[in-house]
Amino acid sequence: MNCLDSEADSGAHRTWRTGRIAAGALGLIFSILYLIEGNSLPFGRMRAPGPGVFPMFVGVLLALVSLGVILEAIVTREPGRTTYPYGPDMRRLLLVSGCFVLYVALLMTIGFLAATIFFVTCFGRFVGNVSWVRAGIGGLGIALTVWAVFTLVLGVRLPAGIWS
Amino acid sequence: MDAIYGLMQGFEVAMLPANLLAAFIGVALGTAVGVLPGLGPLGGAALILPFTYTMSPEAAIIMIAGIYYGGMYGGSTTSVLLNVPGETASVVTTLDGYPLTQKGRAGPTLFIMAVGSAIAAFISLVLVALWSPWLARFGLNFGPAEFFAVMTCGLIVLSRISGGSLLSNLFPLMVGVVAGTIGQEAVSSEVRFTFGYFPLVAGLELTAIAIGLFGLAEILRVVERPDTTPKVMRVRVRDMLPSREEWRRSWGPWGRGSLIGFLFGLLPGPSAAMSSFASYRVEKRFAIGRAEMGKGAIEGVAGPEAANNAAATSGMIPVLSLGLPFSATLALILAALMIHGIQPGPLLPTQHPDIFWGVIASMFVGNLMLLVLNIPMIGIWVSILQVPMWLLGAIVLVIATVGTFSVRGSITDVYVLLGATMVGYFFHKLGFNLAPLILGFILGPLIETHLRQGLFLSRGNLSYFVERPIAGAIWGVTIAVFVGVFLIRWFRRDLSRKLDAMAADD
Repeated sequence: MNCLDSEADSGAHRTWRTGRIAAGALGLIFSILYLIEGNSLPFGRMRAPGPGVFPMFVGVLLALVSLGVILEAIVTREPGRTTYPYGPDMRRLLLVSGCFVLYVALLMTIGFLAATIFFVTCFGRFVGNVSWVRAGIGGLGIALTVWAVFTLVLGVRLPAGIWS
Repeated sequence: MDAIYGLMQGFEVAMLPANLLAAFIGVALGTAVGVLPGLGPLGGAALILPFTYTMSPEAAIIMIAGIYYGGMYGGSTTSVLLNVPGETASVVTTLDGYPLTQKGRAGPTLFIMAVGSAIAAFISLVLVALWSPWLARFGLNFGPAEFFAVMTCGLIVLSRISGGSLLSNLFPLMVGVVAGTIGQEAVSSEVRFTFGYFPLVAGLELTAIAIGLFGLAEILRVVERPDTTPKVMRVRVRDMLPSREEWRRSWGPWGRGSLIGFLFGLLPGPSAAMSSFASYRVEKRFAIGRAEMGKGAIEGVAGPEAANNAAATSGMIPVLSLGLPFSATLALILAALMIHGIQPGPLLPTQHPDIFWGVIASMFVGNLMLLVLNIPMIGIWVSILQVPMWLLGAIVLVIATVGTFSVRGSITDVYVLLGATMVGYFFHKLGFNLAPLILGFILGPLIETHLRQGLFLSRGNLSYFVERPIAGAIWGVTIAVFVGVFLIRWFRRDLSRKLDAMAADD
């Protein structure tokens, strides 16, 4: 049991280190692109600083902090623990995330009502484990209620997509 | 005298029907999001932000503030009944709250909490009234150097004391500051860092970032865990009245907790959580029932609950009178003010007394509403826990998406929401604190403005930012805090190493 625990611990530490190094590397890459883009902005003079001064300063700071994150992840003796879900939990998370990305992508194409019914139905089926019919009824109910509140009460124009 | 007049004016504003309704909706929604596991007051405040754009500034701030302290109360309800803290400030409440429930005293504990929160809000209100004229006079000495110092130092101190390593706070802080520079810049209208993508000219939308980081990322974490509906005991209203002994033992902790909370609210950091921990430690030393602490002492609930509520009220002072939020929820309040074209600062109590005093007075009114809402309706709040998690999750995701879209009618904001959700999820997994990111995003552009104004005024002389007395003192205190925290941690580590070595020798 102890052996299993320590194996799980070292796995969680390894995931934390890898994740931190990846986050730091992404930060570093972004800060370099940011500094290149910012280089074209006017710097002005000390007494009349231009819009390029502050970004240059914070861009360099982000690069240094990103480097620090990478170094800390490599050398620290007290790493944190990161665990990601696995098995059915991971499947559920990926399905829901995928449905949400699809929802956002479809919002402008098929419109708010159809996209919301699709998304909530999938959410109910994959997260709540309810039948397709119950999930569909939930989807229809939520879509119509939110549509009524935003359109009729708040006067917001929701995307109608191809139905416009 | 001005303060008393201001306070009376504040109550007039707070009692307007529209503002009473805003306070009611705020505390009711706050209690609901506080009771629900996952979505806390911060996520609730972020979700409501797009709806406040069309309200008057007072009503908008009153509603967000209501979610803030209503959420803390709701979070404490689940701490007491289920041993599950709804948010960080309620963690301490589990220590004695849940043992009290096991002893069959859940009802009186919830009653003591609600009365204590209202008393703390009142004490804090009186202290704010005494404090604010002095602060307003002090604030009039603030120029670009002082604002630059107080905002920059606030962020630095927050990064040092927010828990986790320094880099766990600095990295998200810098990501937030950099994200705040995207779009058209305020001083010369120069377009920056759009990388050729036109919709970014208007900048990243705060609502999208706040909802993604604190609302939707939290829903993804709820999705990860298998669906469990907790079994909650029934609390009847007639069983809620505390005994004479419980009343007697609660007065001291309410007073001490209120003072501690008031002071912590004025300092940078997660003041509600820190003040509840500090109050618990004080009660452990001074409370009548200190021997029972941890096993179900009413003081262990009364003190911390009063403290976190008082901190919520006094935390408004730096936001309203200096434009300086010390937590992510307060940053959202600052953002809501700025969206309405109101620049918080030392002149706010004189130029917009309706907003300054109205918001402060509404917190007392809101706490009375909490008392009325929670005592007779405790069963309803607890029954929220019985609603299937998938239904709540789906509703939150849809409202978040539509709410974000409705702010500017831009699908780009929805893409930003998606990105912020992913960042929030992975940053949390990797142990990065998310509050500095939103603070950096909101305060970054203000810091840049004060820096550039200061350089204009001083004709490029950098020493201007430290040689003015208040600015110099702020930098001095920051350096002292930074060094102090480092030394305390170093001594602690050294001491524990020596103790370990001694134990090994034995």
